[in-house]
Amino acid sequence: MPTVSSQDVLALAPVAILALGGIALLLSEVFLTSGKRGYQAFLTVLFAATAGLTAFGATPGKVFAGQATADAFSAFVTITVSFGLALAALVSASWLDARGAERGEFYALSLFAASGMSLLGMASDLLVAFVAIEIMSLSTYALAAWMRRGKKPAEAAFKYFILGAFSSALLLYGTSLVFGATGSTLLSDVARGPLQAGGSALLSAGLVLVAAGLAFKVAAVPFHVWTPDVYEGAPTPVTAFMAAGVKTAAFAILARTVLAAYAATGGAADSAFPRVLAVLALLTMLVGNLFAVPQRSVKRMLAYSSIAHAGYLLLGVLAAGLPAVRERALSGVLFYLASYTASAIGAFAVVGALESNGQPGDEPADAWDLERLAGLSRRRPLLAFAMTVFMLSLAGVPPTAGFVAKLLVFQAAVGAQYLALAVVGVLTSALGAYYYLRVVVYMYMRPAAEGEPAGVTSPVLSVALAVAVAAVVVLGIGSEPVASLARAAAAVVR
Amino acid sequence: MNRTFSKLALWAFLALLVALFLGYFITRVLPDYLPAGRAVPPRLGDLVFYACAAATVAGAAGVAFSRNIVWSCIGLLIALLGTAALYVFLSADFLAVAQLLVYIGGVLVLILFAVMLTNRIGEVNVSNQSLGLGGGLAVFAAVAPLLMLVAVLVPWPVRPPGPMAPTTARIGDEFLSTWLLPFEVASVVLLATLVGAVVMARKELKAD
Repeated sequence: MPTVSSQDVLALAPVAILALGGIALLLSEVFLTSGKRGYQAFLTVLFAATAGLTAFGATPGKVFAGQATADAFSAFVTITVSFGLALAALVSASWLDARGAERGEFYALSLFAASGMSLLGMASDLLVAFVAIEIMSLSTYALAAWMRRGKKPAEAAFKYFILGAFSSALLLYGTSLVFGATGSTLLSDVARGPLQAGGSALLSAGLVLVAAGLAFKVAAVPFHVWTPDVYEGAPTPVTAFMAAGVKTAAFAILARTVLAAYAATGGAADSAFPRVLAVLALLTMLVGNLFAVPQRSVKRMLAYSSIAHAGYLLLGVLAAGLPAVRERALSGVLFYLASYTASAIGAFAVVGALESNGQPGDEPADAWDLERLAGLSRRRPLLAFAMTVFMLSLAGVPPTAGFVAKLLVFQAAVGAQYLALAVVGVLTSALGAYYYLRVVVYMYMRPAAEGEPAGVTSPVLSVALAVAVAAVVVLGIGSEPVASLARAAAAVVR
Repeated sequence: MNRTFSKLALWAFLALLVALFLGYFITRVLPDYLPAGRAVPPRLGDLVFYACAAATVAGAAGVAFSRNIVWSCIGLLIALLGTAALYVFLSADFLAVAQLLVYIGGVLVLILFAVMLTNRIGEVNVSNQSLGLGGGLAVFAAVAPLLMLVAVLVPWPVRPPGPMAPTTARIGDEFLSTWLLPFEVASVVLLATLVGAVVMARKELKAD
């Protein structure tokens, strides 16, 4: 019988801190004496920062008999998630306060979701991964339903819940098949292949179902249909957190699972797995970018762009299959996730600041129309500048973080001989530049419509935007420290 | 016209399913029980097993195909009962009872209460027509043969059923040793679910 040591418990400290933070925020509502809730966002930031620092100092090693792994990889994921949580909490504080909807439960659910994401970064067992995914998803379903003004939020939450539950079922079914074939849910055992001859068909079927379940979570085409509606209907700060955090955590477990799947199905050379993944990456890059082009709603455009970015990330995961470029590819993916976290949360924050206050029943069809951004550079020069930085980063224009991230991932893809896919990636990025820069054109070159409101900003939102802009620029110009961290993190994953 | 066609397609699909099941049963399962193919006569337990399995599948089909939500609930009841019976066949006594208590005693009653308390839930108006019967059939055609093939091809390790002994103590031991991490973390799942349910059920927020 395995015994639990203090090392086991200490390694999970970041997860525990985030979960305890959620409980603290819940209790803060109980002891509330006034209507002032401004401190709740700061408490959330504090817990996120503590969790990130704890992850940084954790002793590496396998814990709980290999069911979870505390290493540089999980630390990187936890830090990225905590950073995203802190940014999203600040953005939420401003957005919710303007609508009189700020409550401790909102931050509690965000913290619970982040604890699930952090655990997902550590999970090296399919069952633990499933439980972590459930923590993350159930919290985000509820967050998506936080505001019910108008029809879209309800539809978003419901769609997200139904399709999320369906993908979890796929994942669980796949896990049971994998367990049947290998007699274990540990990824290290799964990597050894089937227990007995003839079990490989069962293992492949199980792994395909697991991969499909995870593809739902990262919104890869053809498992992406829920994304635009959910991202558009959910409260904007929640969308920001979903886009950044869920993507980071889901890609972490996807990378670990795919590496195990490569090993289990006969090595990267003759496994059929890379081909499946290559098709997914290709479709995701194409569909995400092509569907983003005609969108008039900036929020919906960002949703499709999030699908497109999942495609580039899948390309990185695909390249990681080759041992020679594994370290480069995985470090590229990690860097990409960090840069996407800063850019996407920043972009959604600007979108959230510009949308109408949304009185009950007041849900204009053009709430996020491009026209709302017209002339922003004259009304709100700093807001327009911040949005420009985020758009450039998402488009992958130097000297922003998005450029370095794309460069690292495409380099790895070329190194792994996926030349055609890398070319498609570059071409679709060029297509992406069109719809990202259109936003910039509207902000700087179109006159504002009459009576267009200036948007809601607050000191906390300014801080969040400043931090996000700084992160995007610093990751773009002085990318080396973070890139070397990502390399160190990628080096430990086998 | 369109409606009759989709109804026809549905029935054809169901008939195909039944035909597939019968074909599998006659070619794969039945020979083992015929006097020539097998020395031992069919045991009663085997027949009960197939009855339970068939009830489970039929119940699940009822959930999916019934347009009336109360009939879907009854279908779910049959499916869950059948699953509980299958657990008994695997000598998983604790699991079988937990299935009865939690799913049939708890979840199903909850669903029926929800149906009772909800207005006009009977007239379901499917608003999303983008992925109707055609899409469903396409997905089914892609996935079902694959899974069936796997089920038939894989040499499953066959073991005689274990002795009927209480498993509760062992499950408890496993939860608090091997599976301590997921077991403990599941408490966070429950907490997040409770908070989320309250958030969804509360009144629309107003500034206070």
